[in-house]
Amino acid sequence: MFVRRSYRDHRSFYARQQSDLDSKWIRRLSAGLVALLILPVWACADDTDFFEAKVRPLLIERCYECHSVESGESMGDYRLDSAPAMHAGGSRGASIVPGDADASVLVRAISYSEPGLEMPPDEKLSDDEIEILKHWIDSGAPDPRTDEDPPEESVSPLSRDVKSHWAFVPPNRVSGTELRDNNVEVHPSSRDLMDDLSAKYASELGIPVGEIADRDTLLRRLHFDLSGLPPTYDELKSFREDRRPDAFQRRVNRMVADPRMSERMGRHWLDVARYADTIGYTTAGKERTIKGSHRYRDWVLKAFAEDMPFDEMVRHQLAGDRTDPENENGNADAMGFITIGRKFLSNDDTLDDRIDVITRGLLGLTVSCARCHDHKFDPIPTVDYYSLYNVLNNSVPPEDLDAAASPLMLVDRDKLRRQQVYIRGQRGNRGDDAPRQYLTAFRRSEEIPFENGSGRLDLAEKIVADDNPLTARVYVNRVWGHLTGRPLVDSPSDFGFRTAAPAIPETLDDLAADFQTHWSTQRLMRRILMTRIYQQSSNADADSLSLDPNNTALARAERRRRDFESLRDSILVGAGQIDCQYGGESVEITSPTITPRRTLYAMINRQNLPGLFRTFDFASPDMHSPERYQTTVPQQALFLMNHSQLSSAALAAANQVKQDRTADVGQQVTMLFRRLLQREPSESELDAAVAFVQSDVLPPLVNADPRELWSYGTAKWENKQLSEFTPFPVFDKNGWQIETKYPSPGAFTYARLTNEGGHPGHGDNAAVVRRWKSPVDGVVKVIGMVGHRAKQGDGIQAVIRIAGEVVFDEKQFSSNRPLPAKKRKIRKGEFVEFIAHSGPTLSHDSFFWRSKISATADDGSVVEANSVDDFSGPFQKTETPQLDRLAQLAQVLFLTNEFAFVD
Amino acid sequence: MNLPLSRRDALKVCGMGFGSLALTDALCRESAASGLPNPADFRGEVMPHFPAKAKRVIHLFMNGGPSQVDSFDRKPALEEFDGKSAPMANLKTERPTGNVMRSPYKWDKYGECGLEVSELFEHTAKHADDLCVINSMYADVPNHEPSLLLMNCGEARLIRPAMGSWLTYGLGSGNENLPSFIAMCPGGYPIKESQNWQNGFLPGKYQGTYIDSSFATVERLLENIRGRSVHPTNQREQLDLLSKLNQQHAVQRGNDPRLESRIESFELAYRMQSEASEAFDISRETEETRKMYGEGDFSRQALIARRLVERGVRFVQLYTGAGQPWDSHDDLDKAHRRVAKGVDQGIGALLTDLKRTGLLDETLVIWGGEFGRTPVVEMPKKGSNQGKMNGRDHNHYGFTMWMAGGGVNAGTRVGATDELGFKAVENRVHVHDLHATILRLMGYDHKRLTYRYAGRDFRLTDVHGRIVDEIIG
Repeated sequence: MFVRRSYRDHRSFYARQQSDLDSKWIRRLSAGLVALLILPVWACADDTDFFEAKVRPLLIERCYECHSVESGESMGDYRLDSAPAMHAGGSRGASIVPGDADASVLVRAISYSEPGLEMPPDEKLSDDEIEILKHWIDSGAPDPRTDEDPPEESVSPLSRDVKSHWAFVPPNRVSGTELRDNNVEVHPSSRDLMDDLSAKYASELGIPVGEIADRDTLLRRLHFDLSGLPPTYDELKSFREDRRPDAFQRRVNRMVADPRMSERMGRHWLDVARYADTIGYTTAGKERTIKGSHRYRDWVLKAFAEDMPFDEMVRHQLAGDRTDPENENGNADAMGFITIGRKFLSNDDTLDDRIDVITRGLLGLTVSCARCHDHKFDPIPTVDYYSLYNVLNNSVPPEDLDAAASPLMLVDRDKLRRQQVYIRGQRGNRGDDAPRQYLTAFRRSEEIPFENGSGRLDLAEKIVADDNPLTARVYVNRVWGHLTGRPLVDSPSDFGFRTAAPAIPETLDDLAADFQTHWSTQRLMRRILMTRIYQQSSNADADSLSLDPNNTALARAERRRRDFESLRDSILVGAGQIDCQYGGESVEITSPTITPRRTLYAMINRQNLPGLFRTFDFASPDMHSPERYQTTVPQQALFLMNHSQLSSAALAAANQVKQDRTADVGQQVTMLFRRLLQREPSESELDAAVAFVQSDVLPPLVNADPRELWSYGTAKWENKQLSEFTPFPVFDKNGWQIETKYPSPGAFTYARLTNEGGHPGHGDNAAVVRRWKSPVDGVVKVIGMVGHRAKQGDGIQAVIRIAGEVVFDEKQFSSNRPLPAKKRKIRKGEFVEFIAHSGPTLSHDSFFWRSKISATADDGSVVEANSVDDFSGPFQKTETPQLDRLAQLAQVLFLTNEFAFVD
Repeated sequence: MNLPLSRRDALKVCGMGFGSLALTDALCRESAASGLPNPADFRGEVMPHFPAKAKRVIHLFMNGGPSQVDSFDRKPALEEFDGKSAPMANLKTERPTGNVMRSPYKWDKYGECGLEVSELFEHTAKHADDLCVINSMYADVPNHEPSLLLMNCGEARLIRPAMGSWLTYGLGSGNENLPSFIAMCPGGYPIKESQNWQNGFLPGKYQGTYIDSSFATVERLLENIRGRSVHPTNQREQLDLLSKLNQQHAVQRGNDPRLESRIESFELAYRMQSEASEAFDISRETEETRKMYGEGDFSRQALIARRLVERGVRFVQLYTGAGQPWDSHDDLDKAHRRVAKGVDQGIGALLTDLKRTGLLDETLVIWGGEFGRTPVVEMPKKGSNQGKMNGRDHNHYGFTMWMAGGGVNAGTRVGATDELGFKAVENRVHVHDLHATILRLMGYDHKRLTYRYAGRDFRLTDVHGRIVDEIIG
C-alpha cells in the first residue's frame, strides 16, 4: 500500500528518520565512546573564525530546525547547537570524527551517501556547503560553542518582526522588465511570466521543462479539473482534430464558464468550509439534520458559477445578515460558512470551530492554537483568540428562526456582551479585556476596535483589505493546488512563521497580487490553465525526478488520482446513469442500488460518516480540511470489486454497448473501451479482452438477494391485529411513500419509510410496516434500536410481530433505546414485521428504527438481515446482477488505473 | 525501485510495504537485538522509541460505567455505613445521591495475590494473578459523552483521534489483509457512536472499522467482503485481466509507484476476502473452545478478538453492548448481574485462551468503563428511576480498571480509593496517565508520538500524562 501523505505533514517523516537513527544506536555506541575519548582541545581563535564565518551560519540555517534546543527538536536525540552536543552525537553515537571528515557520520548524512540517512531531508546541501563542513571537520572541528550559550535567536514569536516573514508582507506583482534585468529569459514554451520563472529555476537545477502534453491528455486533464468527469470519445476526437491556434483556449473559456465548473470548484470550497448536512452528536436521539444545509452548498455553487468576486464571497459568508439581510439575493445563506460546522455540546467548542474555519480557511493562520496560551510559533497572542471569540459570541441565530430570512444565518446580539480572555482557556479564569478587533500583528496600533455590532462585517473587511498579505495568497494557493495537483505552499492552511515560501516565491506572489486587483476566480483559473506549467506533460525522465523530486521547479505536471467524487461520478457516466440536476437537497448514495445524483449532492452525516466516504479519503466533515489525504487501501478495491452499485454500473455499461445488435464481440469490446476509457483498445488489449469475453461464465455463488426479503407498506393496526398490508407505490428521495406529493393530502399524510426510520400516517388505518419474509424454517432472533426524536406530541407506538405474534409493543416518546432481543420459531414465508402507529395524536411522529434479524434454519445455516443496509427502492429481480463476461469486462475497465488516474 | 524518488517518498513507499530501503543485514540483526522493529519490515509511521512490551491491544470496554465497589474494589465500610450517611462529605455527581448503599454481591479472595473480586466476575477472578488492578482511576466529569471520549481519544469534547487510531498510525498494520483497528459492539453503537473510534485529523484509514458483532455471517460483518455478482473464479480472471491492462499502462508511465501500489491493493483485497472471512469464522474453533467462551454476543466477539489478534490486528475494542449497558441508576443488583453474566465468561475464556496460545505476553488486555459508580445510592427521579432507590450514580472521582498481559505488573493492585471507594486517594491515575502508560507498554514515549496538524504537534495525551511505573512489570 502506498500513501501520499499530505505535504504539510513532515512529522511522520522526521519520526521515521529518528527511528532509523534509533535502530542504529547499538552499532554506533562503541564508535561514540571512542570519539568522546579523543575529543581535541578546543580550538584557537583563527580556527574559530572559519567556524563563525562559515560553519555556524550554515548549521543554524539548515540544521537547527530539527536539532537544537531553540527549536525544541532533537531528532534522533541529536543536537548541533553546541560543541559538546555535536561531538557526543545522537542515537547513532558520535557524529563527527575530528580530523577525518570521511569517517564522520555527519558527512555521510549530508553527502547523501548512506541510504536512510540523507540530511537535511528536504534538500541536499550544495557542494560548496558540504565542502565547508568537510574542511571544518578535517581541520579538527574547532567549535567555541558551549552548552551554556543562550540559544540562538530565542525570540518570542510575539516580538519577532512580523515583516520578517515572507507571507506577512503584502505580495507584489512581478514586472517583466525586472525579470529580464535579472536574467530571467523568455522561454520558448512560456505563456506566462510564471513559466519563465519556472524555466529559469529548472535550468539552475539542470533539468528541462516539460513539453506541452498531447491533446488527449490535455483535454482529459482539463475535464478532470473543471468538471470532475472524463471527456467523451467524441469530444476528444474533435479536440484532436481542431487545428485552430486557440483550440485549447476555447475549451478553457467554455468550460470555465460552464456551471459544471462550479460543482467541481465548489466542492473544493466545501472542504475548506467543513460542509455536512448534520450537526453531529445529539443526546437522546434529538434531530440532527441541519435545516437548509444544502442552501449553503448551492450558494457556493452559484458564487463560483457567476464568478462572484472572492472578496464579496468573504463578506457574504461572514456577514450575509448585513450584506443581504432579507436574503433577497440568497447571500444570507452564505453564512453557512460559519454555521454549517459541528455543534458541540459546549458552545465554547462550537465557537472554537468557527474561529478555526475563518482563520485557517481564509487567512492561513492557526489562531485556535491561541485558545489557552499565546501561540507558540506565530505572532498571535491569546487576546486575539478572544477578540474573535467576542465577535462570534455576539453573533447568534435570529430569535425566531422559522421566520428568519435564512436558516443558516446569524445576527448580532441585541445587547452586545463584553469578553475577557479566559486564562488557559478556562471560563472561570478571566484575564484582560478582549475587544472585538482584528489580529494584533496585522493591525495598526492606533486602529480602533470594530464598531459595527458584533464586528463580523468589519472582520470581513479586514480580511479582504488591500493590505492584507494573507487572504489572496492563501486562496490562490488553494486554487493552484486544485488545478495543478500540488499547492505552491505545501501547508495550505498554515502560512505562519514556520512555513517556508514556495521555491519560486514570485509565482505565488504574482498570482496573489494580480488576483487582488480583480478577485475573479474564473480569471485566476484561466490564467493558471493557460500556463505551460499547467499544460505540460506529467512524464519526466529519471534525472528530473531525482534532481527535483518535489517538483519545486514546476517543470512537469502532477499525475493525479481521481478523488471520491470524480471516481464515483465517472463511473456513473460510464454506466450512462448520471443525473446532472444542478443543486438541490442532499441524497443518500450508499444504498445497494445506484443513486444517479452526482456525489457532490451526497448526504454528509457528520456523526457517522459512512465507511465508503472515509475509505475513499473524503474530506473530514468535522474540521476544516486543508487538503485531502490520498491513501491506497484494499477496502477501496473491495468496494469496486464487490459492491452491488459497481455491478449495476458494469451491467448498465455493457447493456449500452449491446444496443447495437449487429456488433460482434470485437466491436463490442471496442465500444466498451471507447465508452469507459474514451479510446480504442490496442491490439493486444483487444485480443486479451475478446478472449476474456468469449470464455465461459460461471454463475455467481449467491443466496437470495437480501433486498428481496423486505417489503414496505401501510396497514391497518387495530386491536393488536394487522390487516390490509398494502405496499407503498412510490419511491422518492430515498423513501417509500403513498404518492409523489408529500405529504399526501389524504389520511396517509406523512406515511413514509426510509432506510433508518420513517413516519406513520394518521391513526389505525395508516400504520407503516416494514416486513421481512423468512426464507427458511427455523428460529429467528430480532434486535434493534428504536427512537423518537421530537419533544412534542405523544410519540409513536412501536410493535414487532414475528409470525403473527406480537413480541414487542411499546410507546416511544423522545427516546432512543436498544430493543431487547426477541426469539421465536418461524416458518419459511412467514414475516417479521416492524409496525409504527401514530398513537392518539398525529403530529411529531417521525421515528428511527434499525433492526437486525438472524434466522437459524433447522439445518444450522444462518440467514441474516439488516433493515438499514438492505433497504432499497424498487428493483427488478433480473437486476440482481449476475454479470456476463462483457459486463465483467466493463467492471475491469472501471477498476483500471487508467480510469482512476489523470496524467 | 525503478524510479529515483525523493527521500520522503521513498520512506513512505517503504513503510507501506512496497520496496525497501537498502539496509544492511548487520543493521537488521542489531535492531532485532535492541527489541525495536526491524526498519526494513516496519509498516508504521512512527518507529517505537523503546522496545515494546505489547504489540496488540484488546480493550474490553464496559460502557455505561460498571460499579467498582461491586466488582474489583471491595469496601467493607459499605456494610458498616449501609443506609447511613457517608462519614465524609458526599461528592457531587450527575444526579442527587443519598446514603451509603452496600454491595449486594458475595466476595471472595482469588489467586496467590489474594485479590478480592465479587461474584459478578468469578470467571475473570480465576486470572487474578495475571491482572494489574488499578483502583485509583479518575476522570474529569460524571457524564457519559465526555468520559467516553476522554477514555477513547484523550479529549472530552473536541475531535481527536482514538487511541486505536494513534497506535495503528504509529505502528502500522500487523496484517494487511485485515483492518488494523476494529471496534465491535453487538446490536448497534455505544453512546457517542462512531466518534469512539474516530480518526480525527489522521487519514481516514486509521478510523476503527465498526463491526456489529450481533451478526455471524461474514458478509454482514465486513462491508464488501464478498460480491454477489461474479463467481470467485471469474473474479480471479477479472483481476488477471486488470493486472495485464494496468501493467501496460504503468510501463508507459515509467512505473510510477502510486500506480504500482494501487495495482497491489487489488491483490491485497482479493486475499482479504478469504483471509478475513476465515478470521471471523468461529465455527473453525473446536467445540471445547467455543464452549469455554459460552453463548452470547460478547462471548462470540471475545473469541473473534482472539482470532484477530492472532492474525496481527493491532487494536480490537469490544463494547459490552449498544447504548450504555452498565448504567445501573436503579435495580443495580439485578442489572449488574445480568450484564456481568453476559461478559464474564467470555472475558475469563479470552484470558485463558490468550495464555494457552502464548499470545497474552504481547497482547495488552484492558478492562474498564468510562467511569465507575457512587458508593451512595441515587435518589429517585421522575421520568427515569422513579420510585426506586436501589442504584448508583456515575462516579468519575474514583473507579477501577485492570490490565493483563503485555508487560503489566501482574498480580498487583495500583492505587486506592478512600474508605468507601468514592474517590481515588492513593497513587491517583488519571485517564491521561493510563494512556501514557499504555503507550509506554506499546513502545512509545507519549510525548513523541505526535502528528502535526493545524500548526500544532498533537498527541494522545495532549499536554498531560505521567507514566505509572507501578503498572509496568
